[in-house]
Amino acid sequence: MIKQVLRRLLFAAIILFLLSIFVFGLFYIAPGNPARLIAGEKASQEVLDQVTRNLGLDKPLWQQYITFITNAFQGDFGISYRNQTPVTDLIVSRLPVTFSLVGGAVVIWLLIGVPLGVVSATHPGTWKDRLAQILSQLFISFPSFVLGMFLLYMLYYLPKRNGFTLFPPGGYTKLGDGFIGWAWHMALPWLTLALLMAALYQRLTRAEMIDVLGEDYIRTARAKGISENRVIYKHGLRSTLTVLTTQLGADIGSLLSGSIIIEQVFGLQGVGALAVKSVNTQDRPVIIGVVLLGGFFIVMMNLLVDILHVALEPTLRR
Amino acid sequence: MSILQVHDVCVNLPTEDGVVHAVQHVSFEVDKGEVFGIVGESGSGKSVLTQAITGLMPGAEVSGTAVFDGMDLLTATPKQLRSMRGNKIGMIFQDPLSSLHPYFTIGSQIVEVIRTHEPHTSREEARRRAIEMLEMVGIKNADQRFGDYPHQFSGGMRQRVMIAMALVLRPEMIIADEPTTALDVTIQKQVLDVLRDMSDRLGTTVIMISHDLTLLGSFADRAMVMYAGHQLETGPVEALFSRPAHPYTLGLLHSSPDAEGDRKRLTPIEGRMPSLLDVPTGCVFAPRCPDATDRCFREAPPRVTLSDGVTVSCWMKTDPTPAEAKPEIDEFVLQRARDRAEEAAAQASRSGATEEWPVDRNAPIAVVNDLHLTYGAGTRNAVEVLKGIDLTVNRGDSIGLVGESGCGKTTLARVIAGLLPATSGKVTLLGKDNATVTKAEWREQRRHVQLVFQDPYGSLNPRRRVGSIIGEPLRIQHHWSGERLKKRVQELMELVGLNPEHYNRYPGEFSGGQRQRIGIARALALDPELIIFDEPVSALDVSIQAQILNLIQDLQDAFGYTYLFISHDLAVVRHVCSRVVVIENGRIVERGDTDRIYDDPQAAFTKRLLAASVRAIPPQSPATASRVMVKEVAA
Repeated sequence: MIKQVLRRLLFAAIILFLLSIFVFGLFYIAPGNPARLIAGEKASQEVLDQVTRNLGLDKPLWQQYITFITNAFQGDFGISYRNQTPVTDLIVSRLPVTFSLVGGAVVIWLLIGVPLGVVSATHPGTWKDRLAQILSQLFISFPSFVLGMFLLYMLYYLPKRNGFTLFPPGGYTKLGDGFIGWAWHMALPWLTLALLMAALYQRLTRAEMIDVLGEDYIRTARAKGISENRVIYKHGLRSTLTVLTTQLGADIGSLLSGSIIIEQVFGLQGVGALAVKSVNTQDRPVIIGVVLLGGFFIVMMNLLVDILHVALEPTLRR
Repeated sequence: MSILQVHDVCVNLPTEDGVVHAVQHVSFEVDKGEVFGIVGESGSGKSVLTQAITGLMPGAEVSGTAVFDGMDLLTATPKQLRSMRGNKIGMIFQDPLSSLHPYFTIGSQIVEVIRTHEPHTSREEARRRAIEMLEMVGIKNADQRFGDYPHQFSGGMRQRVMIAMALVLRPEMIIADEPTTALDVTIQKQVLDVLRDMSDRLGTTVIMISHDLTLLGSFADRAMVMYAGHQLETGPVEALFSRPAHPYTLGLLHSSPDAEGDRKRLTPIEGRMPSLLDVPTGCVFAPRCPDATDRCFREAPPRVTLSDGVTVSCWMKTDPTPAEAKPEIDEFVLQRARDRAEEAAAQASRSGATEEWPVDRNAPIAVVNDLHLTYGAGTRNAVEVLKGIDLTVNRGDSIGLVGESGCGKTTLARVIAGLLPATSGKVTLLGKDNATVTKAEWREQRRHVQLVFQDPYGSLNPRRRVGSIIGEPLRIQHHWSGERLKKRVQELMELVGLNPEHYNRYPGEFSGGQRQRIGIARALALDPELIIFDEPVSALDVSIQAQILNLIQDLQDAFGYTYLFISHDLAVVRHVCSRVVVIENGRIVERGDTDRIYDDPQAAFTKRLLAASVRAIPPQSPATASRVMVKEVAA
């Protein structure tokens, strides 16, 4: 088991290493001169050369890469071209926002999506199933910014016009400054993300649960005379956990590297917003940092999922 | 005293295609402490019946009464039924791997039964009782194995766990739904012994469902024969075997491979079961009955009781005549196929064209010398599957490879066919060493060696038309197309007993037996030198199984094909093969002429296999003149 985890960690390191080469190479090929960007349009050739030397851009690419990767191993991803802050500090300052958004939304979407999926699967073809199916179809077809705008209109703008504030339009207060304020500010972004994802999880749970309920061991459970709730929630749901955690791992991994649109709609200064800004300003060190962070989250979540599978599935244990 | 009285039960299952009349007007009684068998082929309604009366068929419309222990199960509330299930009625299902929850320990699954029905039992007490029960059914070190998961047990042990789970609360009755069908023959016997022993020791009534009449013959006290949802005959098993009163019961006995001791042909029941969506008026068995008269098609026969206690639904009531075994291949079709083969041979010699790869007609088809095969050779997980096999397959042979699952018989066949490389040893197929064949020669081998697989459902592509499936070898090897291809495919379809007009249908439109005929037609398409049958009938019902076995035999008689016939079932092999090779754990433990092996087995393993698989059947005696109808039960 430990050996497997170590092997997977090594594998993860190799993937991140390849990713870093890829991203680094991409920017070398991409047009635009960062020195010109920093020095300004009107800077003289001397100034430009000076900036190029300071950034180390005059050295061969492989030397630049080695400098970069050596520093990266020590947690130093360089300094932002735009505001001269270390990339690491910049990203770390954005992480709480992204973690808050994803963490809260995960809880909500699981609480909505999974039970609705179970209800659908246990009453297939009835009005309950149809309603749940229609709702999930509806939310799956919504682009996230439309749903975000709609919720803003219904839950912020309309109450505001009638003289009271139900939810704030966005912004972020630290969890350290009080749970209520934090949750109140995050409520709308959470709801937007959670409704979209809940729709997917409703379908996933429904499909998986229908399969499981047709298994012979469910019949055995009923033949034992245990109550229907116990059959569904203990024997049935237990078997869907493997699939649910796989999907959850992949989703959390990709959302942590930035839910760009939702952060934009609600003005949240998370990792996604940082990614957008740095791409717009060609802030290479930041872009590389964000991409590698995203890769890191996805690889780590997958590793976590694999470990969870061994815990969940006795057949995988040695 | 009867513990279960079922009266006039009908079960209808609404589906998208219409209402399936799964069970119709079934009545029977089960006495306390007896073993009551329900026998029928798939689709006969035997499982639906028991699941419907125990409330495990939520969508079914059930009518009639089923009184168990003074309570009508069919009008009981779901809660009352729940308190019965597991507590007073235990259940055992067919496949012990899929019937146990894979993610919970066997201990916790047994404890759950105890604590559901006796919630005040402490965990320790429940654990103690579970372990005691596991020991009773023969699980060694039950204390340590309590925390193991189902996949850590072998098939037979898993079924013992299921039995322990069904019996832990000492129910008055258990329903065993094909409890041994998924197990190897030697394991089957052990599990049946455990079941019988438990029933004797605890006085439990057993309802045993099986598709295998001969199995019930050695196990049950009384039995009921079901067909297409109808109850055809009910009575003591000796009576069913010695004086079958219904032509269907007689047909089942004749088509069972155990039935005939010598290598006589089996007598299958012609045709197949009617659709349950639209049940014919009159007797359901009439379309397949050799004795059917006009009256049988017009009016449903009454249920009558005979003087020896047998209840039967048949206009004939006593003495059915056995069906005639007809040849599976039409004489005209056969003659045409022979002519075609001769013509093709003559044409080949006339044109003087030498084959790309001439086959030596005198050499043996396959020679295997000291064959070893290890999966994952060189790694820590290496498993030696074949341990030094020597075997010669001569032209015209039909060799049966017999052994339990996992003994390596299928692997051996695949190595001989050249589909798996040997780890060491030499395999010569049609004069070429399998280890050194070139790519072109390997392709050529494919033409001369054909396979027929076990599962007629999984081995045919459901999205391709039957004509294209059967014709594929011809397209690949001979590049045939158009009319020529179609004509040959239709000939093949006729040869194996399929309607050639069904050329454009999909496999889904055929029954299991017909699909196996498609598989055989595909194998015959290239006039192969060797045909390997991998458990070709084990997925089929008894009456259909007999049809396919006869077809396989007829084809060899007519064309002299060479067969390698893999089976776990000695009775089946006996009907088809002239020589038998018994394999145990990757080694050949015994080989010889079929009759010699059956009459005088040498190896201990062969003896065990024979003892477990060939069941004694009471001889059939003519119906006694004294047996007369005593009362008419229902019209």
